[in-house]
Amino acid sequence: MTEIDLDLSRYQLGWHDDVDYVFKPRRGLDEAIVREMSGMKGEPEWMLKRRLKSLRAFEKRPMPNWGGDMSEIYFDDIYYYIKPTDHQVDEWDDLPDAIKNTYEKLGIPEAERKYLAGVTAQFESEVVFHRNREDLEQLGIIFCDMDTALREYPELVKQYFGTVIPLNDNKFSALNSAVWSGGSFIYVPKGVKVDMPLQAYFRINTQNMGQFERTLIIADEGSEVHYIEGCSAPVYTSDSLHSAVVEIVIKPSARVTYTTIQNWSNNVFNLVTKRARVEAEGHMEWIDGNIGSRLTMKYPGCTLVGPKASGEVLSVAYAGPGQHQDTGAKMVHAAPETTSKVVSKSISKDGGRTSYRGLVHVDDGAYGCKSHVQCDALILDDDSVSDTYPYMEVGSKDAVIGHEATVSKIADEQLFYLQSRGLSEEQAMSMVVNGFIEPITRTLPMEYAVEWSRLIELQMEGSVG
Amino acid sequence: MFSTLTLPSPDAALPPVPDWLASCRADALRRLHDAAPPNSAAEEWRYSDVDDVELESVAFGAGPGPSVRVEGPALDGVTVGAASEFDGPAADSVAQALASTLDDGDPISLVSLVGLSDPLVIDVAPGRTVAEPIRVTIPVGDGIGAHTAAVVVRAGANSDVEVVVSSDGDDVESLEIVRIVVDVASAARVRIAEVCNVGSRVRRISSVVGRVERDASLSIAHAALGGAATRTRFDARLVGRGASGDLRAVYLGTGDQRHDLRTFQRHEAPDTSSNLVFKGALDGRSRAVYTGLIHVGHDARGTNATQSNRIIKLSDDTWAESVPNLEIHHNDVRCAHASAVGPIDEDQRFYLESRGVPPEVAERLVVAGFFEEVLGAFDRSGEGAALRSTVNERLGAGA
Repeated sequence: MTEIDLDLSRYQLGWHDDVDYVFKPRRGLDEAIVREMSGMKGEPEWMLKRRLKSLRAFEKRPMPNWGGDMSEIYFDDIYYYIKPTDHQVDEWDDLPDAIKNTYEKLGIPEAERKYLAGVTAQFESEVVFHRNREDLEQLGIIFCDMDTALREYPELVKQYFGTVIPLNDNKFSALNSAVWSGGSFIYVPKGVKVDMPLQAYFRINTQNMGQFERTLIIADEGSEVHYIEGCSAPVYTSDSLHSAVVEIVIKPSARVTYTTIQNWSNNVFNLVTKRARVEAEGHMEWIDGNIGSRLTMKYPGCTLVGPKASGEVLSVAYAGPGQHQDTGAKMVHAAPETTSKVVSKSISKDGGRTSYRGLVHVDDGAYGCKSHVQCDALILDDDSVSDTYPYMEVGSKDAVIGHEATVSKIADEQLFYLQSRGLSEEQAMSMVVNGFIEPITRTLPMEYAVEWSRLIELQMEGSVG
Repeated sequence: MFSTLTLPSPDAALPPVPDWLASCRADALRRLHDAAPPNSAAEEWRYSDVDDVELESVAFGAGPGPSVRVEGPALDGVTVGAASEFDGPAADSVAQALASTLDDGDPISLVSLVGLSDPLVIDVAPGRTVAEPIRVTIPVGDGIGAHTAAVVVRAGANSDVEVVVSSDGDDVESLEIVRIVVDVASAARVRIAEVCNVGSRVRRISSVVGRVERDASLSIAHAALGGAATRTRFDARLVGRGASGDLRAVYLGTGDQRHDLRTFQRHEAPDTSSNLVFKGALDGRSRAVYTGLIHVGHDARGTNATQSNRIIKLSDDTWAESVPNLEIHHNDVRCAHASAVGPIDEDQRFYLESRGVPPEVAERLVVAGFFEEVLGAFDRSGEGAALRSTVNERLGAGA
């Protein structure tokens, strides 16, 4: 038996750059902090009011009594707002060296320069590096960070902000609405199709610093856009909180794909609210990969409000030692002939726990709806745990709603076959696991798919025992 | 159902029963006072109607003697008697069987013991195969308050027995709380067939709790047809290596009926297997909730478990919720669940109609075929035919 103790976050991304922060307010959260934050950002009055209202909602709401163990989130021990540099920069070369180094280690420059479109790299709470491709601007696409959007397109932001996820939707969306900072804003005009995916990298880089980015994507009629969000964070000893809110507005016949690769270090609580509002014949696709964090609770949702709207969630979760991935999907069919599909694959190993938690709701009178949910779980050893909690609420008569789930270990026959072809047991396991999640990997852009397969391979090292 | 629950105080005078039974009840009552009241905000009660059942008038049984009847002649190797007739170690073991199945998270299980007058105990001697099913009838209360009844079935090692439980009585407004506790010793085989076809004004809360030891098997078949509202809980605890459990149920909702079904398949030992097949058809304005859990413990290597709940919706005003859950703590398992909610298959309907079958009959035929997988389990005890015609009649009567 070979035990190679490999922890990915330590193995590959376990560095920590020292960055001088311009402003570092105290820990904890109260009205003064929110006012100070809003004032420093020079926000309009309505946003400040909203933040304060959200803060009250956050304070009032109890902690959720379901999902993972959140007893070690100490809200008073978190920095709610940090500004990494004193102003935003337009050129890559203008970035402080320490920040650039961090990105170098993530391999961003090569990947981006070769393949990718506009870059919004989120370092700490605010976007420090941001470059719009000229042709995006020519098409009328707005792609900037949320704070900039609030300054430059206040009307647009005011019209849509908080319309998909109300500020008091849940405790963590209320928290985010009170202290949000950074995140992306995208507006795609009518009929415009963006060929290249837009992407942003996120990174938490201060001990006990919560990151509360806020993303709003508006896809106007008949438009198409693919947004990619990738996360990685260095390892720290004390716990961090990441609580983002992502709202997507899909106008009739528009299509949005939102891809997330989440690889927070194993001390981060990742409690994220993501939801799309899909109008007639629109389509939303969430592709969600969760490999890092201590606890992730994330249930990307689609509220299908227009006839023939459709939603899809493809998710992969990997839970290693000490990790709990509580992920799933939420599909609300509020209009006739809407369809949804959820495919969830999870792998738990070395005491990790994966949970699928999902809801399919069909309103009374939403005739002709179809939904299918499929959850497959692999448990790689005796210590690991897998749960499935699907909820189905069906009001209309002719809705066709299905759910199926299987939980198993890797079949001995598969391992035997591969080993008889000369692969080591470890290689064989890694290959089976990669095959298991292939339906989702193949939907990723090429370089993400490669990175994802590699991450899985790394996690699988030392799995034979 | 229990928002207005008021309980007797722990030292309230209860009807005379043997001390051990009284202390069993007092214990349950204390726990009930400590337990959180049912609340629709809690996950356990999320989909249940917890607003319109009043328990302040739980009828605490009139005294010794089971409120449950057993039909048929005495059988060799089978002892049937009221729990109050037991004393010494025999009484202790009954008390233990009753207490071991309580769940503080489920106040109903506690209420069922608090209000219990005198359980009926059926003991089957080890090695004994009982050829004829034992028929138990639970009379529906007289309409005054809630009415509780319990049956304890204990099958000795390597015995074989079938118990048919049915509820019987007038259609009066009443609340029935029924608890069936089954202890299956090693290599024994027990089948419980429960037919719930009470009147349309009866509300019924029942649970069937089974503990299955090494190489033993427990099959439960349940038909929820009548009643204004039913909540039925099934627990199959597989505690011995090689134990198996089979849970089947049909539920038919018409009018304003509500069916609430809750299942637990607990695998606590290696090489255990369980299979669950639930089928429901909803017509009128009926509602159904299914919540199930397969739990595979750390020691349950080689578990094989399946769980499937399927619902046909016959009318637009029905509402169905299905929550089939899995919690798996071991990797060497095979576990699958499936759940589906949908209308009658159009192809099947078309086929029948093209053969000249009138639409409403076609619908009934499809439902009958859909239910057959479960109703077949009632044939052995001879209940099948009656159930089929009941289903047919109720569907024919329309919503």
